[in-house]
Amino acid sequence: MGEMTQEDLAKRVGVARQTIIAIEKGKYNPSVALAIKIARVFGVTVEEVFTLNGDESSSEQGGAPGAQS
Amino acid sequence: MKPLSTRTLVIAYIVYTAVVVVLAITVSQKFYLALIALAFGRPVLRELRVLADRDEWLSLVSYRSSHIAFLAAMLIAGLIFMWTGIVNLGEPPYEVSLILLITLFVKFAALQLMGRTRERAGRAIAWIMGGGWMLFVAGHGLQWVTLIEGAPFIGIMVCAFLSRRWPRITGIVISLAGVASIIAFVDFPLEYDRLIVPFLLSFPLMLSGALLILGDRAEEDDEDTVPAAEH
Repeated sequence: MGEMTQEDLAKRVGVARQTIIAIEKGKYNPSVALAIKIARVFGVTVEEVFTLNGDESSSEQGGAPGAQS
Repeated sequence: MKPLSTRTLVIAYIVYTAVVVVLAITVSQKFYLALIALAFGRPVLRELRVLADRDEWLSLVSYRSSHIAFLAAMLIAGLIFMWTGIVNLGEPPYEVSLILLITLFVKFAALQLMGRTRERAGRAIAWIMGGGWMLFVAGHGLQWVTLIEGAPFIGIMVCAFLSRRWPRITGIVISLAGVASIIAFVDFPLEYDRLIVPFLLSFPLMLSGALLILGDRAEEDDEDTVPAAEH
């Protein structure tokens, strides 16, 4: 999981690399469909990949932490 | 429909350009006008879902940049319109009025079509057409002549009001008013300096009428209903 590049993730979910970068930087909130696709790539739930900003019940803040360049 | 690949599209562009240039050289230079499709062809194909070369983020960026360009164009056209027509009490340049009014109407109509049911969109367009043209006529002074000239537009507004109860009948009346305005005021072939009436009266009325005729009551029921969340 940690070795996956942005390019790999982009290909697997069918979007451009810029889209993955925008999601990682928090510039863009993906659609539900794309969020589910990303979560499935990592074999986790959507809530494990994405969290609401200011959501006290979560330990992580936004973005797609599984995607690394 | 299967989306076109970028390679297929590039080949189509090259062939299209070659055909247009040959026709322009051999038949008439007016064929050069067809080259404008090269600038707007791809965006139109994307809107028609024929071309799917952008994902959701790239589409959003494209839409935002287009919206900024729209605002800039409207700001410039609006300033020229206000400066020449209101500040200097003259006649705004025809081309500027055409671009400003048609673009604003397209924005309004698209907003209605995308955000409302067909029936509500048709009614809103009828209100805007009747009210807008009535204001334009009233701008020439409040006299009996104004009332007579504005009578058809008052009729459109009455139809818009009655369309809540009789959408199909009023839709037919509004459509026929659009067709009648073409027969009465529009000459073919269309000249670019006489596009205001067809594009800002006839076609919008026909669109409004068609939406009211096609409108579905069942569709309206869905609008105010939010599915209950499951816990």
